[in-house]
Amino acid sequence: MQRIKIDETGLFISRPGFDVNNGNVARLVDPRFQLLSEHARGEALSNFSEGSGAGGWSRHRAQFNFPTLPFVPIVQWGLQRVSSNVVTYPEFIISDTTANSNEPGDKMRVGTNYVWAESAINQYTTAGGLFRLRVTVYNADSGLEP
Amino acid sequence: MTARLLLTDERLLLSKAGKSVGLSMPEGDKAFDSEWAYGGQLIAAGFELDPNGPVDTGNGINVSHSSTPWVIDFPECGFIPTVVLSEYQAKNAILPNNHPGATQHVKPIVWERVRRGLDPNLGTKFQWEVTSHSIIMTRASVNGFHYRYQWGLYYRVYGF
Repeated sequence: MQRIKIDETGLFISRPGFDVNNGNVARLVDPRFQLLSEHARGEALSNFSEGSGAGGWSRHRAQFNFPTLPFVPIVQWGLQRVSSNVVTYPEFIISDTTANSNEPGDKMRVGTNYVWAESAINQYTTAGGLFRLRVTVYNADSGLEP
Repeated sequence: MTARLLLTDERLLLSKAGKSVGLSMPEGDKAFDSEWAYGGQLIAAGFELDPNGPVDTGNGINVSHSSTPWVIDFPECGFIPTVVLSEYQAKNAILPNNHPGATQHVKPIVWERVRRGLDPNLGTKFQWEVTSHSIIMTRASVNGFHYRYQWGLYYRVYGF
C-alpha cells in the first residue's frame, strides 16, 4: 500500500490504513487544502469595560494578541465566567441580558493579530461579568474579512 | 546537525527543532508523523448571508418567496467532509468583521451544528446536507412562504 506520494502539485499522505491514491477518503496531508497548524495559544483576564456603576449594568472585556498573520485566522476560544467557573466552548452562547438594549449579549472579534471578547451586560452586579478568555489560533484562513 | 526528517515509502516523520528523528522517538518530540490519524486539513471556511431577501409579512415571520435551497460551494474533495456551521445573528447590523453593512462587532453563536448528512430527526425547519463539494440548506414551507435563514452562517469544512 502506498502511503506517500509527491507529484507536481505537492505532497500527499494518506491516513493510516488507506492508499494515498484513494481519492474517496480524506487524506492526512493534501496540498489542495490548508493545514490547521497552531499559531498561538494563550489567555486573557477581562477588565471592567463600561457600565453605570454599583447596582447597574456592567460590561467586561478581554483581549488576546498574537503575531500578525496575513489573514483573519481560524480561532477556537473558550470563555470562563470567574464567578461560576462555567465555560462556554468553543464559542459563546448568547445571553440576552438587556440592561443596555442596544448591545445585548456577548460579543467577540477576530483580527489578523488579536481576539477580543466582551461579556454580556450583567444587570445585577459589577463583578459578575468578569471572565477569562482562552484562545487557540490556527495558521489557517477563516475566510472572514480583516 | 540533528537529522529531523525520516522518509521511507510508507512513513514520513518530522521532529521538532533540536530533536533528532527516529522510528522510536518520543511522541512529544514529533512535529509530524504519517501514522497520526488526524491531520488537520481545512478545505474551506467563510461567512455567508442567506441570498434570499426577507418578505415583509407584517407579523415578523422570517420567510422568503423562493423555495430554492441555499447552496454554499467549496472545492470538490472526493469525499463527504465534516462541516461545522455556526450561526451569527445578523439583525441589528451586528455581523462578523466588517462584512458589508456590519459594525465592528461580532455577535456570535446561537448554536453550532456538526453534520455529515441529512438528519431525519431535525424536523423540517432547518435541514441541511453536505456533499463532496457543497453545503445545501433546504427551505421548509412556512405559512405559504419558505423558510429564510435570518442568521449569517460561518462555515468550516474540515478534511476528515
